[in-house]
Amino acid sequence: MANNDVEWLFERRHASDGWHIGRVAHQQKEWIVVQATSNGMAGEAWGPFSERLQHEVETLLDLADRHQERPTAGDRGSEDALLACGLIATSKLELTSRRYGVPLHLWLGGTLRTSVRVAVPIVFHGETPRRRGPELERAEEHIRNCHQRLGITSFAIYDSSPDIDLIASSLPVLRFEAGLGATLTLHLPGQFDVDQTQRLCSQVQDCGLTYMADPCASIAMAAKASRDRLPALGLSVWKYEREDLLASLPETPPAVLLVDPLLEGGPTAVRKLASIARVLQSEVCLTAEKGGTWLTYHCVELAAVVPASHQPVQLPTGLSIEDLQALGVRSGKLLLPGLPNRPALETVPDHTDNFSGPSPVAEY
Amino acid sequence: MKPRPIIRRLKLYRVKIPLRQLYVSSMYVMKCVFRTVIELETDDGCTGLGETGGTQEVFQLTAQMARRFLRRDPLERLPLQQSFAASVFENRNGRNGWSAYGGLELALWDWAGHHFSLPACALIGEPKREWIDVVCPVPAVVLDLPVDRSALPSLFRQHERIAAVVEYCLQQKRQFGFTCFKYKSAGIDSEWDLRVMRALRRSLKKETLLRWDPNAAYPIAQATTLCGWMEDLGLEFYEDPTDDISGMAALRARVRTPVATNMCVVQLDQLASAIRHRPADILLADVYMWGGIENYLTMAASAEAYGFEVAIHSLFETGIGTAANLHLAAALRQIRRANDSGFHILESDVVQEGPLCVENGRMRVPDGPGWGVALNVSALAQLSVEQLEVT
Repeated sequence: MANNDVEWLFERRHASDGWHIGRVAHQQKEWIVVQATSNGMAGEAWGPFSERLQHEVETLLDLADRHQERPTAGDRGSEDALLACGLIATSKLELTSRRYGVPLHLWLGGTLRTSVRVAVPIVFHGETPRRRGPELERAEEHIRNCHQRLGITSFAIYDSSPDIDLIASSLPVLRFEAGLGATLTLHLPGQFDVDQTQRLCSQVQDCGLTYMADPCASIAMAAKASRDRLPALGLSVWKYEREDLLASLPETPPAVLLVDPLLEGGPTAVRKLASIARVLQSEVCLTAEKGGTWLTYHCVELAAVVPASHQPVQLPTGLSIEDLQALGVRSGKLLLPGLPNRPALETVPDHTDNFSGPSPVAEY
Repeated sequence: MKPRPIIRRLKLYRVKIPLRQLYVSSMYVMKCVFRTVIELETDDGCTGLGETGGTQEVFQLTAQMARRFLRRDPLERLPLQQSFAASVFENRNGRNGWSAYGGLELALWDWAGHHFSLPACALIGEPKREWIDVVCPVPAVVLDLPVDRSALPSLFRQHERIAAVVEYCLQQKRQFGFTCFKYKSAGIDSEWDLRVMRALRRSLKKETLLRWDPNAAYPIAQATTLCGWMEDLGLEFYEDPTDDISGMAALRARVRTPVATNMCVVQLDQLASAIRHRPADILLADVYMWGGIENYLTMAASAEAYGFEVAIHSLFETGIGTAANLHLAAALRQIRRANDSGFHILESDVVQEGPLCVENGRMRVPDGPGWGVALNVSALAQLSVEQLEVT
């Protein structure tokens, strides 16, 4: 990607170091790119562009500029504030690994996995059997193509229907298409109460789901509903209060924690949460559900070094077979050494306004 | 792309270091300490130093495990760990297995520090402190020569010997400025323990921190009673007054003073149970026994999330292990209490003099890459009782 495709929005320079924020269009979406730079080298992180996110990133960098205590992902705020922390921390760590001439996964302790399975999202919006029919046909075709052309055997089914029977009747069709050996997971937006969830569990228990994520609005309800039942429980960690999540882990550990690395606050924060998951016997699924190519590759890099990351990395929604091919998926996996270069910006912007500001190399 | 360095040689030394003061606790009566020193070298000539316990068993296990490290990239710490302990069951040697791996892993961190020209604390976390408070260990009874353990009960009936323990602490305080002491109880005579702790409390200023550590020698009921008697002494913490997670949890529920352990929670697989049963307030962890820095960080992340404090335990490490402990304390914000250290009691050391000394009860985190210490080759040769080269 050439630098003239980037609209530079913000810059803070400190001698040869600096922070830059750009706005780029890539794969029909707009992204915010946060770059930490030093002596011509850059580490960067991409998030979905919004003016609110831009504001959050600028605020964090300005706070550091004024030597004020910056919030961390530990002080969990809005989703944009968390994302801003994650973008800054990730770009800084990537810059560090580049400065020392090693890939991020080696900087973080070496690779436990040289290839990482990926899971393709299958999204259902239809809330009536009439609308569900064509969606199901398209889903079957997509699963077939993913399996036959790219060897993908993991599928994450997103279903927002409030109709338990509709969800339960779709799953056997998808299981039949995907085959018995495929990994199927069900992701819900918390639309059910305890009784409804238990009813859904009873209806889908023979579908071989690896887990069912976020069936209820709260962890306590989800844990109660899924206790001693199949399928096991998954939790998207950014959807819940951290206190509730930590309180639930020792007593009713979910089978899987879904973690968006940027929303968690960057690689160090991911590794901390994954450490806790490992100790309490939960697995980790790194998800690029809300991101694009950049976040996918970042998830794969992290999955390679996080011991508890046994689940396939979840790919962004809405990718066609061609997109998946372009991403580099082979045999259902992304290979770590073969990761294509990230869509990194070509050069470090050279604005010479000489703002003084915090250096990404010194403590941000 | 330039090929990455690979490990071409590991040298292991089992060293025997005399102590300035006979160490008496509920587990040992010893005049010297054995440690295993590890020197790792890559094909580009860069080296790293590590250290672990010095029992024969750990030395042999370290040698066995070192063979797995040959021809590997020294930055590949996680796969090396996974190769011997992918599951709890697969680590066939439990705590000793982790100790062997932990010593080797420390050498990987020192190597990385030299490779990147960074102090180890900057690789581990975000260093905030240059000086770290250290604790002075205090023997159960002051003796000049070792005695058989069977002779100890009669010594503890001679209460006039308590004065020597107090004087030892005052002398250490005068010489090194210690502000924190750990009394190593022999766990034989609760009356002696109570008297000695009261005497220490009277003689040392109120701000001086006191720890009491009988190494789980007292049964639960006796330990709880004894802790109850000591509640008004304002100790910093009781360290392993009794055995195992359930015993410690039962005791902790009945006392006000914080409780620490370096015995019932010493491996990652014990942590889940500790989180559920709360046997301690403070996890007092030996970095090598936990299996090195990566495991220590995993433990610290879980400890922080579940309200445990983390501190650093020690058993007379050489300068290598002492420096590693200082770097770890500097890098981890959770570590606020003084590091255990027996460094000042070693009569000699395997590292060159200079970076490590106790001043005003503190030690400075050594500068320079890695742990910031270098081997004293002649001292190492003199202190070695066993050597082994793995190529």
